[in-house]
Amino acid sequence: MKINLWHDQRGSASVEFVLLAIPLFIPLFLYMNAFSEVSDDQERLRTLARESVRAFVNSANDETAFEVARSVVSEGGQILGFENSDSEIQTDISCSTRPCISPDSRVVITLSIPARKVRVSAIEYVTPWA
Amino acid sequence: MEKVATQDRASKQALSGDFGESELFLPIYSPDPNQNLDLVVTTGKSELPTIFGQNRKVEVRGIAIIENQR
Repeated sequence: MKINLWHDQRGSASVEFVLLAIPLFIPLFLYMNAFSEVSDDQERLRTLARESVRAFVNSANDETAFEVARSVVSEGGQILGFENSDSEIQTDISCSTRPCISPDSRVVITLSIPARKVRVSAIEYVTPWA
Repeated sequence: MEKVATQDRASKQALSGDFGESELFLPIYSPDPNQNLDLVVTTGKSELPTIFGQNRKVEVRGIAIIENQR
């Protein structure tokens, strides 16, 4: 009995699946993994920014405020899983007035990880009775 | 979702002052001796769906600033 392999259709669906689906799925999985990592970084940085700006506006003067915000980013970053939070995370603090700790001053803390192109900001206002 | 819930718990506890026994408190250094700030650290754990008979767990943390607790 002669088997004509060139005209036999058995198993062709499996071969087509391997040839077409794998090249499509692998980039999709890689993309989803990268997207998940960036979202996770953004979520953690957002928490850090929010808490550091809260600590900042609760300080009595600028010197204390900058030091406390830096401490929160450093300590909190380690807790949230950034191994080298001091070197990994860049902190930028801007205020609407000088000194920063003035009544109704708007404080914006921006945290970024340049290597991963993640950047978040948090805004808080100093109490009017500061 | 576990991460969001854990962070939510930390934020709520920082506002209410109603802390659980498992929570950690980390003092934040401040040059001002009259300012005492702590970080409350909440921990959440959950199990991932079992794949190939392996039970995997994830542990996530949430943080929030609390004032004048000392």
